[in-house]
Amino acid sequence: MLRLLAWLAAAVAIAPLIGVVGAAFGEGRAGIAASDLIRYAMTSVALAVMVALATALLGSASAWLVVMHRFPGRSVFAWALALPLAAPAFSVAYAYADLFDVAGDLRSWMRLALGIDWGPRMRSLPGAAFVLSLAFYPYVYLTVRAALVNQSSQAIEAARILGCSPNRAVFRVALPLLRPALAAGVALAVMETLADYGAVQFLSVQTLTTGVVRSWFVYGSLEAAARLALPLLAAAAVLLWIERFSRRGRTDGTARARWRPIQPTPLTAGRGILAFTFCFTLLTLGLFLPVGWLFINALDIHPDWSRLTRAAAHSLGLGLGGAVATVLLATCLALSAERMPVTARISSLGYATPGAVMAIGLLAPASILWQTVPGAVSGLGVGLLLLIYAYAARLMAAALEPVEAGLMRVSPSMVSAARTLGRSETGAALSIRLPIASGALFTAILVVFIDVLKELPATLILRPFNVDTLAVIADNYARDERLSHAGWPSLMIVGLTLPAVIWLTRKITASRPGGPHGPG
Amino acid sequence: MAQAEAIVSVAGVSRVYGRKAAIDRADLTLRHGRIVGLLGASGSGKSTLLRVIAGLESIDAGTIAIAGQVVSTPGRSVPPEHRRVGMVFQDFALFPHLTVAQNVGFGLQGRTDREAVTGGLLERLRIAHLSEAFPHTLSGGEQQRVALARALARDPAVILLDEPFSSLDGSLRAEVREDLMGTLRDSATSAIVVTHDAEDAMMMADDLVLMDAGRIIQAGTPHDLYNRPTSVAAARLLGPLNLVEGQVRENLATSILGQKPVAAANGRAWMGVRPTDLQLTGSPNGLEARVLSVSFAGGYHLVRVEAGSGALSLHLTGEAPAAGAVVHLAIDPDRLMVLPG
Repeated sequence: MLRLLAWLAAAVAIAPLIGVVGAAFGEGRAGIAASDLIRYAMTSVALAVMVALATALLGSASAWLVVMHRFPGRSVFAWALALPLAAPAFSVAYAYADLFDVAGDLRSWMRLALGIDWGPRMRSLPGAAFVLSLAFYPYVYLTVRAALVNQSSQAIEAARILGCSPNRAVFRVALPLLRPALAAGVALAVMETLADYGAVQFLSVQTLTTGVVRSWFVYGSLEAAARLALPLLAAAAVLLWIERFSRRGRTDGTARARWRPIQPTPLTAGRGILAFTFCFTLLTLGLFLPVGWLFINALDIHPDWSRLTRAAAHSLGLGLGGAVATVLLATCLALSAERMPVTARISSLGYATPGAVMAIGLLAPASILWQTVPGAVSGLGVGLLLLIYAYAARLMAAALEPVEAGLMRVSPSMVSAARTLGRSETGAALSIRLPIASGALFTAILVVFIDVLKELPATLILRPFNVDTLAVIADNYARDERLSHAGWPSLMIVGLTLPAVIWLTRKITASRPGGPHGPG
Repeated sequence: MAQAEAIVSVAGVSRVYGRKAAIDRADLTLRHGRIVGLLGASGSGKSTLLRVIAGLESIDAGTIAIAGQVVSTPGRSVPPEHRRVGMVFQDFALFPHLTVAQNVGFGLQGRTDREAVTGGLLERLRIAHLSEAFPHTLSGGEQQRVALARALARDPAVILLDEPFSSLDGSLRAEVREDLMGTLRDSATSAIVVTHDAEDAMMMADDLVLMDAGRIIQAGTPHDLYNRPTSVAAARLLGPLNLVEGQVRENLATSILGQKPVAAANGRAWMGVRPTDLQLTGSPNGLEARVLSVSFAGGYHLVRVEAGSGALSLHLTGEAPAAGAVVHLAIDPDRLMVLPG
């Protein structure tokens, strides 16, 4: 029974990917020019490299400061530095594009008050890299921070006893141990960069993902969209491999009984102020400034509350529906993961797959249905199901990870005990494994909920007629250059996701190896 | 006296992982009301044998019957929930999200006497005052009692105990062992206890089964096995052993340790003696040896001596000689073991 459900979950996750490959090799019209494909791909690669470098620097430097040093505000920054995860990348893009617009308030004030007419050009590749780096550095921050916290001070102490100075011990022992975490965090940031549609589209940067969406909306060509999606799918597989490979052995030497926390070094007053300034600036640029700017601008207009309320209800409904469906499927997969490790890993491929690609993969089977049974996929309910399907396939791995971590807390002997006490395999799962992992299931639901609320391209492509989410409305306003109006739905997304992000980041940062409440 | 009925019969059972046999053609019988100890080193297959009896793993050859019902054959296995077994796990495997009473009553779901049975067991094992406590608040000994109560609750035909004392230490271990023995004896429960500790095994078991590399190498009473092991591996499993090479000629085994009549073919043989069976003697006829080291071990001195071309160990309860002294050793021929070479 459990195995059957696991196969079903795996099929859900893999089917759209097969759909993309199938569509790419289909007989299609409006074939894309090779030069376009190369241009899109080159831009995507350049953007990914810039974001990788910037997030590696910002994320690891902030984690290094917060874990290894003591300075004013350190305990708050420990969790607050992850908060930019609550703001969708497209909302950060709206804010910065408006802030540094030639005719914008800031530039006008600078011209008048300071006589300076200069500002960064946000609608450019470096501008997009700047925005996405601020939006995605928390992925690196969280993974590097976790690796630093998990390092036992005993490794550094051993290096000291073997003749290393404090700094040398850090460079010879602590830093090499961080490399896998850094690679995993950067891989996540690059995955999100390649998957992003809203921000790069708004900043006029043509990537493979914008190409996928354009091919579908402008040319109506599923085949062209699928062909653009293929390199993204390949990149997703490579990034996922990097991320998973880096995680291997992450717990080596960490979750041991004799783990002792690293004692942070107190910084002198001057250095403490520098550390505070760095962290505060990062948090300001990643969250306070863009969200604050959107808020100030939004105050000037009277929003269409009925439309926003409807969209918020749609977002919440889809978020909850998507989260529950995804976590249910991920749980089925996780319960059998020990016996089906390869299936579980393949099912994770969707996580690195951009939402736009996932949607294209679902359009292929849906279009077959349209042609064979007209009207079969046109109903509102079926449309919503298709959308939730896309979320589940895309976010299966994001849910799988905390669920697997939670189930790891159930020792094999507990399951064996339940079996000898009269429970079947499914009974043991329901009475022992799931109740013990219930906290992890809730974590997984929150993770997926946050991602669904921020999701744009798959929703744009698959949503039924007249079903707008907050992200879709923000995108519509932004396309019309009505940024003040786009601020409200963006702020509402931040408002809905922020409590969940705060809860999650506080939980993650409070966890310790071997502690009663692990990250799961 | 007629033998009690067999509660567990294991006949020719093998369990293979890849090309390695974790259990190799094992035979074992547990009779009603008896306690069988399964003793072996790590990786000898004893825990695997327990798990196949519980139905947690399948078998590749042989049959297993519990209370007269065949429960395992190759390709067919009655699931653990349908076997009449109770099991106490090495880490106790208490369910952390359930209270003590809920843990004990876990296997009685749907039964009207659930509360009564649970309450009775908690009283019997003197843990009634802990009924609302959660497992993580209990001591090791208390956790073990909860695990035993939970295993007994379904009135199983046999209780399987997998290294039940390995997570306990010192005086607690002895105390819990006495407790457990008392409970099992009082309830006339048939049990199989897996352990790697010879003392635990000999003190608990009515019958002992020795395992090595997946095979059962000897079975019998603890006394018999300790004094009359049939192999070097069996002798070593039950305690420290001095072993020297000897020869068998015309039914007489000879080595520096002495001579002993034996019914064996001519050839090489091992002769062994326990450190407790070697004594110092003032007689110059004893085996001459030079003291290498003396260590105080509390109740006795561990004395290492060099005799002939090898080293021997003695456990001396009296005065110990000084290192470097030349001594003579007396060996009772009855305590000498002759083991196949």
